[in-house]
Amino acid sequence: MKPKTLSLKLIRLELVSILANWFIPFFGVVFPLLLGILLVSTALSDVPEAFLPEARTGLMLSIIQIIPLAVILLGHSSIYSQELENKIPLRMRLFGFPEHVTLIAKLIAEFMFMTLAIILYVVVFFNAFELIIPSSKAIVVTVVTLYLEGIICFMLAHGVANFFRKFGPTYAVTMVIYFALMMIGGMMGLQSSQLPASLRFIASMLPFTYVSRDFIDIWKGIPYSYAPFIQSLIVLGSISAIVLVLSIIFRKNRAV
Amino acid sequence: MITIQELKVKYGDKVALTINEPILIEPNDRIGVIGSNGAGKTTLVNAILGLIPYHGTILRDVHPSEMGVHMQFNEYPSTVPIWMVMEAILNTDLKSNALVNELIDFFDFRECLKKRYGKLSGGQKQRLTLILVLSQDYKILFFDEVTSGLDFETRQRLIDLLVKWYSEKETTLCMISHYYQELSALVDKILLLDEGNVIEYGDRQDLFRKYCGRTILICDNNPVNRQLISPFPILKSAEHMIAVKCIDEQTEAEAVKVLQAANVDYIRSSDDIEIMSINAKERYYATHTQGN
Repeated sequence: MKPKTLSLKLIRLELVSILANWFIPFFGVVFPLLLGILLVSTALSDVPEAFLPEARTGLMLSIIQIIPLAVILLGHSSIYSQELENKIPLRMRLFGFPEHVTLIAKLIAEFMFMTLAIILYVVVFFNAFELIIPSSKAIVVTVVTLYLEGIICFMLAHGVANFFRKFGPTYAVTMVIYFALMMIGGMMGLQSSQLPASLRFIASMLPFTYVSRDFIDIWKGIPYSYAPFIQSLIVLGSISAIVLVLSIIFRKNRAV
Repeated sequence: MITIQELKVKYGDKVALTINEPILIEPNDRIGVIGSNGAGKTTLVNAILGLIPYHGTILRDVHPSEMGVHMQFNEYPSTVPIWMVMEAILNTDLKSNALVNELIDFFDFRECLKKRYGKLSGGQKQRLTLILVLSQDYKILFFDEVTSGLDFETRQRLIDLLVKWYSEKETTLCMISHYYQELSALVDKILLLDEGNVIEYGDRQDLFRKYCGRTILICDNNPVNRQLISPFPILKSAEHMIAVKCIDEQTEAEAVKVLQAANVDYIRSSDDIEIMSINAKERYYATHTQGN
């Protein structure tokens, strides 16, 4: 018998598993939509009419980042930690699924769900509000950024879940990271300039900050220097990769 | 198929399993692995499957993907219907897979397909893993306490189904169990472990003859019975019973005559794994204590 390979049925299993865990659709779909609509409807009352599309688009771009955070960071860590706690990955391995196959299936399912959530979010926003119509370059940059944030979240979530191997502490830690990233990254309406100096420094290391603050310029077609943003992706990506590698080393050679 | 040589498994400083004499698992073997808690049974299976680090040699003629295992506890995603879990693991359409459908009916599992894993009873959970394991083409299968935690009736039914399923198959089976009666129905070899040591490994009948003689007669342990059977050799057994060792037909006939004359109820056995294992352990420790 050959080792099992990736199949559509395995991806479907992971996708349904995401849908069945209510907090992922809630935090990944309902919450960003509600928060976005609420903030656009209430927080922009002082903005002059002429600047409203720009302000709304800025908020939309900021809050859309909650989707990878909720679906991948919260979703993957909580589902995978529960599975580790119940030794489901080991069971799958004993059924002939190499670890990378089950992880790729999860990754694909999570990114499929994230994509659907993003499409729904964008469709609702463009139907509900007058927004800036982006150029194709702005769309590509935004989509690539969201996927890169998703990959960073995946490494971080997987590292935390693999380190604790229990749902409780994993969920607690990722929830703290989730809210911290939302607050510092400008997704809760706070600008990085309003933060204390120490938090401003942390904010400058987060790609979320640049998307929340600067991506409106890309959507407006204003020339933008990507260097600090790319640097922040590298920094957060490296931290997530280090967390992942450390968790693997920590768990290496431990009992099954 | 599998050869284990000079194996040592440690958990921290504690030695969980030591195998000095080579153990050979050959094609078509039906092996029962027995021993009390902490004997090293699951550790042995985990080592063979390569799930834990060990010192020594385990030679495998089979690829890891050809070794299946039904662990003591098997969990699956609990928020998805069972049929979807099965289709993902087996990568098949349940409706068109004849073998899986045969197994589903064989294990009377069809009503569970639409349920979630968390809603299944203990017996149904065990049957799910059995269906998943049996429907794949493994050369060797390990069953780690498949029936633990199940009520007597479910246990019996599961074992009956397993015996029937494997009666004409050539899969090598390695079955860990505390229930010796179950093993009697399924296995022809016994690997007896105790406190991480191999006490005995061999043919079930040979081991019985080695430690218990030709047959044994078991009756209640009370002063009258003890007095009655005092002329005969007695084997070590559980406190509540007396086991008479009958090395030949004549001894058995004489013991039976005595018991029948006194109207004592007794059980005759020629392959009691429990009493064999008690006496094997006794002899092992007597030898090894003397040796030390």
